[in-house]
Amino acid sequence: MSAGQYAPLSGVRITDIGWVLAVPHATSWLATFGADVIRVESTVRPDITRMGGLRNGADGVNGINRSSMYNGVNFGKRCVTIDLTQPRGIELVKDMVRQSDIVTENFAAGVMERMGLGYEELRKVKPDIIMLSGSPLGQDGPDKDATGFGPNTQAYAGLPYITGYEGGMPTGLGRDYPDFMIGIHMAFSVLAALHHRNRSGEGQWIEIAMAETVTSTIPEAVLDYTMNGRETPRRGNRHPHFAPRGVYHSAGDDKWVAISVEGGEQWRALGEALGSPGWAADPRFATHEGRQAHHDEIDERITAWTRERTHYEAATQLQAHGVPSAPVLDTFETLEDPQLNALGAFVETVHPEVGKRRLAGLPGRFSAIPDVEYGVSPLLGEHTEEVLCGLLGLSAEELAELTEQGITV
Amino acid sequence: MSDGALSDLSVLEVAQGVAGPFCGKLLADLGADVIKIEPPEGDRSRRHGPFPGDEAHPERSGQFIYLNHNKRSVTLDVRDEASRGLLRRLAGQADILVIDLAAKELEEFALTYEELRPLNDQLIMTAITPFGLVGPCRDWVATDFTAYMMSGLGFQTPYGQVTDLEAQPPLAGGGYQTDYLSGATAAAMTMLAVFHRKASGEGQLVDISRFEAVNAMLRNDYSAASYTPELVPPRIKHGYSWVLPCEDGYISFSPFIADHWWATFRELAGNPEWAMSEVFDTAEGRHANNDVLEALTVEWLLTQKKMEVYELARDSGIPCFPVNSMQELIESRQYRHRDFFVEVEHPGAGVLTQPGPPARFSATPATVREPAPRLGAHTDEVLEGLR
Repeated sequence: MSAGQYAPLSGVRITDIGWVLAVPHATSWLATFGADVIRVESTVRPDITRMGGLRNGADGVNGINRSSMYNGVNFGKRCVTIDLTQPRGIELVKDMVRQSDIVTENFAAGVMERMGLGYEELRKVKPDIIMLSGSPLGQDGPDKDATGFGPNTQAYAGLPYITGYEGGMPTGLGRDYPDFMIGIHMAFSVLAALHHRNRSGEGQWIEIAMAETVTSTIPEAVLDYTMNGRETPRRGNRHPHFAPRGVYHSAGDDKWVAISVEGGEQWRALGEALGSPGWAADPRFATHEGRQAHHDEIDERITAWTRERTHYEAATQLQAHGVPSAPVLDTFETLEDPQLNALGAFVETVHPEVGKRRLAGLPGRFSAIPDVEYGVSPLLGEHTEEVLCGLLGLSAEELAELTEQGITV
Repeated sequence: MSDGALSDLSVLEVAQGVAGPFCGKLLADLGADVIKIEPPEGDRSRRHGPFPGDEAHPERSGQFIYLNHNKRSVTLDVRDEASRGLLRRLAGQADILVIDLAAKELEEFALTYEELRPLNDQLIMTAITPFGLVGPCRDWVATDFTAYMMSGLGFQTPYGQVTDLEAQPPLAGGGYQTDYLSGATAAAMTMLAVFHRKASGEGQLVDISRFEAVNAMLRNDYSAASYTPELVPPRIKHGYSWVLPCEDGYISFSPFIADHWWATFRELAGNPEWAMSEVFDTAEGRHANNDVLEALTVEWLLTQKKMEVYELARDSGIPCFPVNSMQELIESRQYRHRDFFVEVEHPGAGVLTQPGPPARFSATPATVREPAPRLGAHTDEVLEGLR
């Protein structure tokens, strides 16, 4: 595994029946810090992130082991192929659970029960098992069967309602943000439950409704409604507590610098950073209320300055005066960003089929684990024999028979 | 009933606003004993609101109350050396220190990990800063907004809806996603350090950058950049929109992605002529003609009620959710059935209806045991314990 001499999760085994992004993201954290994460997949119903339909193969060539999306979120795990539509397949999963500490899954509500792998069944097999189930709206209730990807689910949760240009339609946050954000809550929750089990011997079922997790991160909007009956308006980049706040055109096509000013001191600092032009001393702009009232005019003035500079230059000059500001970076710029690289935000792994590739590391640094090593994402079924014979103790003949019967495919 | 999954952990929280306090909240709601250090003027979220009736009051801020129940409040001024002495003694007894002072403040106030470690070699110090404790931008200042914008996520917001690069610049996510995400990241990393301590017998410094935490959410883009750079999505609309208008609102409706969803949708909609073109029969064809297909779908949606489309999709397994307002969330039959929103009685602000926990634990549920503390309510109690 990885993470040095005292891998935090050494000895912890996870049977990971999750798929797509949220649960695999959670288990990639746990695998990186020493857990033995065994993914249960099948060629009958492969994880959709492995599939060509998402057009994400290495060097433009799709393939079940070539997916950027799959390989970017399953590092450090093992993978067995078991057909979960067959009773013998379900028995094999139970045998794995018997030797696991944790089971993770994010099928639609009720699917695990129907397969005979619900929490009540699994705790008969392993009384102190910790099970994590994720689904869009939860395991019970009238809308439990509603389905969708993370970007659909965030709509239900209220986040897009408060995100958008002024007067414009609701909008989603970048790409698969909700899945990855929820994956972190999943990782945290599993770790808390494992801590509890280690102290008390008691396992439990953690149930995550993805929409609820997202709503738990917008309490200000919820409370303004429940306290004052007011919906939070979509205001673009503006904000009642900050003025000016926005992104300002810098030199180049579609290049921008973000600036956020709170209070008189930062306003004066902004003026100094811009070379104390006369307009900055305009008494109409002297108060927060005045700056809100004349936001458009201030934005024009600032843009005249930012237009002449690259986004990094503008932000660096503003930061020298203590003004919160930043270049608005795209994916290729962040990859080269000196700060992210100083933090070690990107790492390389060597995959047996697609070779050396870069991926985003896990965000944080541990002083006592300076050498976090990132594992490689597994090939489909790469560890079927190793796990079934090594861990479950099947003989080569028994495995051959399962293969013959189409169970380990 | 257990007293909480984390009831053996003691936490010292020297943090304001959202990120550090949300980390502390995730720990506290699962039973950790969290002592919150506030400056004499109080955590800045006490001034944030929303406030009942819009009357600002430090004991009635919705944001503060949501983030800080189950914690004890101690006022100490870190700018004062005597107070810092008390702070160090508290850190000497804690399992976890969650601290959001800037890198140079940690140095100025002699509160770096190197300086605290001799007092408590078991201490896990989780430092949450905008840019991390190392690197050329270490001393840059940031807000939730500027960190979001620099991280790459701002460039990808709104996702798949930009048709005019000038009129639709990179956009802030609603609320304070940078900070809530950073708090959750810090909580997960802190728990990993708890396990490491159990294995090694040692505490450590956990260095969390809010900028990096958000950046890591673009995991798919970084993989794509390394696998086939052309697959990194441009800012301009390049595929299906995740939000579409209906007659009476908006929905996030994705019947286009898989063939069986599309076939089901077509049938349920009564096989309308506009949807029957052969070019739409395959996923490839739909993707290649997504502009035409989406425009036709929107034309149809504008004659439909959003809840009717949602219910039709829900009952046939097509990915779809309504875009809910806060009122619709509060009234949502699903959230009501699950009792997601919780009523919390607070002595200053009255009864507040707020979001429930992000995860449900069958044996050790997250609970609100004590309302958010009055500023400094536990100063005497906690400091007397030091004597």
